[in-house]
Amino acid sequence: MTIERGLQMSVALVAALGACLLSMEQQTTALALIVSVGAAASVYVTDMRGWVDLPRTFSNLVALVALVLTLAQITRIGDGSDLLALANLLVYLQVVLMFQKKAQRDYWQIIALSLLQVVVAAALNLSMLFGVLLGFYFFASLAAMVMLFLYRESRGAPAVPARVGGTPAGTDALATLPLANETAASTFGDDRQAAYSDCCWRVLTIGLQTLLITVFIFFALPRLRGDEELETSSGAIGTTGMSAEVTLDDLERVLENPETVMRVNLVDGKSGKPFEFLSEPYLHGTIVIDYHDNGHWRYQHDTTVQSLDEPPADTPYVRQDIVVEPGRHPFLFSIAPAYRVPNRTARPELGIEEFSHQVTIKDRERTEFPEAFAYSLTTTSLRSGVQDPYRAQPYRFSHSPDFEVCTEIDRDKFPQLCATAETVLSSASPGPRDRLTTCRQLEAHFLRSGEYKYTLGRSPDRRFEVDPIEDFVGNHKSGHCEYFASALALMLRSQGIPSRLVLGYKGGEYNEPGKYFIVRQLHAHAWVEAYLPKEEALAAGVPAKMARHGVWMRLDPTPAGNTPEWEMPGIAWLNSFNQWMDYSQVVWNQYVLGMNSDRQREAVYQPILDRVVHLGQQLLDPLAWESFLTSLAAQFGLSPDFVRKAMAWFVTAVVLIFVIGMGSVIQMIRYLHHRWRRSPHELSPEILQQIPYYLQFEALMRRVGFARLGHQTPLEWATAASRALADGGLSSELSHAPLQIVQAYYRVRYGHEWVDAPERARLLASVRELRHTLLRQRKKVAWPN
Amino acid sequence: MTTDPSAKRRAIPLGHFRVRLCREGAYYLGVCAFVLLGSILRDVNLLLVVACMMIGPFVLNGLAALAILRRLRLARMWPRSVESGYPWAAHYLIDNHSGRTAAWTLQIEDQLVSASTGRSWPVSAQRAYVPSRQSVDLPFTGPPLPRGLFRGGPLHVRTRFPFGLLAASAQAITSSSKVATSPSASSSPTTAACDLIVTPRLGQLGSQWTSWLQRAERTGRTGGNRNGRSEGEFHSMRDWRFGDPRKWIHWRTTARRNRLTVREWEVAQSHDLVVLLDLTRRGPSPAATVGDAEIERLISFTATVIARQCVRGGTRIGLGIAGQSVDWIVGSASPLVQDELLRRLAVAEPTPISTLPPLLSRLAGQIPADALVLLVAASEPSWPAGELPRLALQSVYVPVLSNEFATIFSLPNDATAPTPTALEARSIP
Repeated sequence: MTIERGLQMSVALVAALGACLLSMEQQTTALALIVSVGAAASVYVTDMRGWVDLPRTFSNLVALVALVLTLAQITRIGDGSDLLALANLLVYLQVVLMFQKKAQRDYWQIIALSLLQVVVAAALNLSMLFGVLLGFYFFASLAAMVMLFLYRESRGAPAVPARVGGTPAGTDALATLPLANETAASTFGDDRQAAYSDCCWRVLTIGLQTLLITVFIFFALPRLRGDEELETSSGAIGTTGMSAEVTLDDLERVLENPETVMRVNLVDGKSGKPFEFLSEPYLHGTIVIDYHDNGHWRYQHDTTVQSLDEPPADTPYVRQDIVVEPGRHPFLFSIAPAYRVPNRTARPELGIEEFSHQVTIKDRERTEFPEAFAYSLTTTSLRSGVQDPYRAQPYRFSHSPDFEVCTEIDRDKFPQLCATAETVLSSASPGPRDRLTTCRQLEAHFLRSGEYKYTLGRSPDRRFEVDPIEDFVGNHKSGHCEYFASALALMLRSQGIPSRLVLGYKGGEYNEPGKYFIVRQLHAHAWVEAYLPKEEALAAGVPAKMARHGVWMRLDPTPAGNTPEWEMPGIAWLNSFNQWMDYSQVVWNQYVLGMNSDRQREAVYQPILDRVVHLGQQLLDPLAWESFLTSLAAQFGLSPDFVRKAMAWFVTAVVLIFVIGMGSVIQMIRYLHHRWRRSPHELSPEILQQIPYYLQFEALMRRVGFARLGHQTPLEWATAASRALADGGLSSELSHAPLQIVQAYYRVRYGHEWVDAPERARLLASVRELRHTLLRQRKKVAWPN
Repeated sequence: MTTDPSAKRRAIPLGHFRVRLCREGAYYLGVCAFVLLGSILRDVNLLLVVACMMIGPFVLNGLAALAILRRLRLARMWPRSVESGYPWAAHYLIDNHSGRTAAWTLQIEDQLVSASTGRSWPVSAQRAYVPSRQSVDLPFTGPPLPRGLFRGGPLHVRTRFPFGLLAASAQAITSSSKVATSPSASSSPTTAACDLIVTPRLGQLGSQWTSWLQRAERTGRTGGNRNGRSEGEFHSMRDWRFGDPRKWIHWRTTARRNRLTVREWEVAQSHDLVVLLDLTRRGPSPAATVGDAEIERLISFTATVIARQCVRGGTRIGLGIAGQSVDWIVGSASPLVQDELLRRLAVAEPTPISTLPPLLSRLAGQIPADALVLLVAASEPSWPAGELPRLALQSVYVPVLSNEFATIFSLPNDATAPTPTALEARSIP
């Protein structure tokens, strides 16, 4: 295979991969398929067979048409898709170029067009798969660049291994390498295999080194923007998890995040045995009631935090031992209603909000948990393996200002939502109905109608001019739990039923040996609580003590299909693979796409700084050293007193080593400085003007065949010359002239002294005399070898 | 691959490493800066990843190219002497000391600098691939050079492998003694410090050269003490020609044939030969000067005569050069002496003022009595009155630049050769 053939194939591969990267953003395989097939076909029909060779004029015409079409497309679209349209233009141009007979410039152009496509794709694409494919593209590009370089070096000169010279300086015509249009066998001879191996090894090592450089620069380069700014600029992708507020439509895609949030151990309060759950627990986080605008549920935390009460004395309870993983947690979680463990002192920092009865930290500023935070609570809502759907309202709700908020809805903004609610209810039971029935029928509408689809991605049919909930109900009918919960809450409000959104976690992975639930971020969930007044609560079977001020009934409209997307029943390895892929995407999202100044400080700078500080502290801590030496001495059976004495010696040795080390560093710097000064351009013009006698002497010695050797210092050389001149019978004055010349040269060169004019004239006269003696008079001198 | 272990030992490492940005590298850097700037300004981390991926090859290109050169050793394997006017073959020895990585796309750029004029001739050669731990010969054909001494200029090695974005170059130590040249049989003080000696161009002496020399010798040598003995053995009888000595006339045959007939003598081939080369630029007339081409022709003729004599061997040969410097060397005709004599001719320089008298003074008593002395000059020299009469009587002036001599001596593809006319040998007055 020739170098050119290798170049053609690698360039085709680069073009195909570039198009694949671009097509990932456009979520279409057509583009990648066309370019890939085109690239492979061009190698065969154009490069190998020569059947197709688009004339330049025709190619330019096609490129012009593609440009016009692209401009027309851009004018018609008029939004952010301009970039993609331009990228498509690059693809068209690339395809045209590939079907031409290629020169060096064409190869460059194809690679450059491919690079621009990747740049466009990188600006728009966010998936981890893009990163993986980018790695392949990178290695293919390296190979193509090496091949192109070898090809370029081998072009444009006759096929002889060397140039026939003969032109004066400046008109040099380079010879070719014996590569062009030759087989590798003729180029490399017996070393063909070794050459291939070496080339591949180079590409591989440079590729890996480049990846290391990339990682280093990427994480070390300071970012300009922090969390908030980055979210608005590039936060089109996010992960599942708990947040204080709900903002629909802010993310294009939500990813399953398997990061562990907490472990929940449920123990029966009476028997002390693990509580056996028959369904999935709902762990309350926070409650939002204010639907602000455009899919935004606003959170207002309760300013009044009370101490936790004990559970009612005559009510069985279940203890919930919760360990929250280190990290940022705006809330604490529990199965509501939460009480403190009887006969046990609760953690003093725990409290409960007055309105929402949400467990929280009394210090509201504390949201960061550097270490795992464990707390124990009790709940009375777990009975017979299930969680009670009702929660008591602790005070008279109808007179509360929150009542108005919980029933607030702008019907003008939600015409389809209100109409759908009416339609659903009227079709289910035309007559008058109670709140409980209304709640159940509306919940059933989402769960069982089959019209709605659970997905973590944003629907492509989304109409951005419409409220996301209105659009969800009336248009695309696909979304995640927050869409379903928001829609149900607003439908309930359209029917005059107070409702609110609850954010927390649902379910978890039950660890059978440990008898606890592992709750991950992917278990984050949103559901609805609808208010039932006392009468309807009693009618629903709620105990009278609990229904004193009414109850909140839990409604979960999210379809049951909300299992993680990567879970495929029966294919364990595939599930595991998908889970890892999902986790990789999370890491990619957090540390690549989401790397901003804040995260950089937390993940890169601060840990390094901490370690350096810690190391410095350890090194400078005499107690640590003493402890270390004591333990060391103990191993050798030495007494602590000996250690104390040795400590003084040790400190002295450390100081000495430090001083010696500093001295070595200084010497090293001086050496490097000296080496740097000994560059070929070390002699400045000023110095050169000052040493004509030395330069003339050097020229004279070269002429008589005694040029200074590379390993000789000028002084050694002059000494040898003086000795030879003396042996040759020259006068004492002349034989000492070289030494005097070199000593004067040393004074100028290293002593920065100028030789005065009379002395310079005397030295020049000595050189002249030497020249006259050696050249004119042909004085025979036996120069040493 | 080289098979000469001594050549490998002579290879030296390189120094003065430099890295230079190539044109392609500048474009690449521009694109890289564009992507990097875009990623920072727009805060798109994936673009930053792409930019970082572009920075890596750029940086590593320079490092890889430097690493290749740092493990190379180089030897300039030039011949000690070559003939002027012809391309000449030589090679560089490249020794890759690296234990693992090969050296790629090496370009050697060298120079030949004339020691006399300072004019330079570039020499370049390329090698695609040198495996690790191996030495390769990189042959090249040198340019046709004028006669003289040449030093190797700065010897640079360059590579842009693997991407051609940055070019790393290194320079061999410039002292000629550090860059190995091919060994020579001997070296004279005047040529020891050079890397290449370009000897005069050798021409062709026609078949008439011998007879011309005989005639010239017969007509030019008038000294009575040499008569008879220098004429050699009787060869044949022929018609008398203008200039034949009267004593050669064989009267008996003349009477029998009724035509002047002379005896022809065969010149002894074992005579010692002394060639005196007068490089005075003074021409036949006081106003005329001898040009460089004519000077070169004189020197080429001298070199050709010496080469022929040394090939034949068995005699002694001497060369006196009356040029810018006066030089004299004598020895037994042999290839070794030929080599040395040609080197002396290589460095011979013309002079505006004749230095023939000092040369003749120096030669007094050193020329064997029976030696044939050829005086090669642009014009017939005017011997100083009363000075060295014996030497003058021994000498034969060779009119190399005359038209009639063009049939005897010619240089290959010589456009400046005089037009051949009737051949005539003239004696030195």
